[in-house]
Amino acid sequence: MPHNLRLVEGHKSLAVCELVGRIDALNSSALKKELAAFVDQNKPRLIIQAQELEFIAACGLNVLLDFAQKARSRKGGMKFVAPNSNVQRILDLVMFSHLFDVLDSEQAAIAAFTGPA
Amino acid sequence: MVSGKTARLHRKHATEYKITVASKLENLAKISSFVGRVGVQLKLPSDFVFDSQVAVNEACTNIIQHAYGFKTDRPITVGCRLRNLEFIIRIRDFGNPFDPDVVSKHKVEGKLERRATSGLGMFLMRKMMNRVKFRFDEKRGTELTLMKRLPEPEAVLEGPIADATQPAVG
Repeated sequence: MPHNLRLVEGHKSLAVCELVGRIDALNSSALKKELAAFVDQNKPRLIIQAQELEFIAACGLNVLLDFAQKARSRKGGMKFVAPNSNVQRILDLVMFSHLFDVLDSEQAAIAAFTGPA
Repeated sequence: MVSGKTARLHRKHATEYKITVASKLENLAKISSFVGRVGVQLKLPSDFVFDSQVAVNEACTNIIQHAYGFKTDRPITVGCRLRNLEFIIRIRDFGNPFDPDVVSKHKVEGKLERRATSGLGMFLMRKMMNRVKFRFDEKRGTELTLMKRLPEPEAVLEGPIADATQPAVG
């Protein structure tokens, strides 16, 4: 499975989605299904852990965009953590980096969502 | 028609490489990997190869989903060559002709709520490559040519570079 969704301890509406390897038309619908289930929760907030993500196709970007739009309407959001330079270039090209924070670490992303401890 | 087992990589001549695979989503990774291997063989920069892989992936996804309507036993042929400073990729299929002009232009500007998801694949293809050209022929199928230009090689400096921080001797 090229993705793994886990809740952050102590924050039931905050989850981390680790993307690994390649997200393309073969596996993006499985990701979409899982994120749709999460978005149904109140105030869905998602951290995309992109450190191990090597490749993301348009359909994968669309799944994330679709999630972010639904999450926003429920006062949720999405942040990226540590994409490699190639993936960062794609995020810049499709202007995701204008819409979503891109942070260095998961801790920084959690803090950005939850505020200072 | 081809099966997944018939996928093969061969050199057509000195600088042309080709692969033919069946139209399965599982083969998208195989095609990307093929482009990556050609890039290594031709000593292309890794970010240049990555951009080419993104464009080829979008093109082949379109073929599987739209040209072949998810039929999994149809051929997709990808050929790559380097001519002067141009990396040229030709992708051939025999599915329904695809009209790029009917794809709505993807707009990346604007607020999140207004972002549409349609046309993102074509947007990426055009952004990643210098040229995207479709050609349709009843007998020869659809041929998509993608071209990406390598940066001009930098001028080679001859001899040691004078250190401006040191006083000239003599």
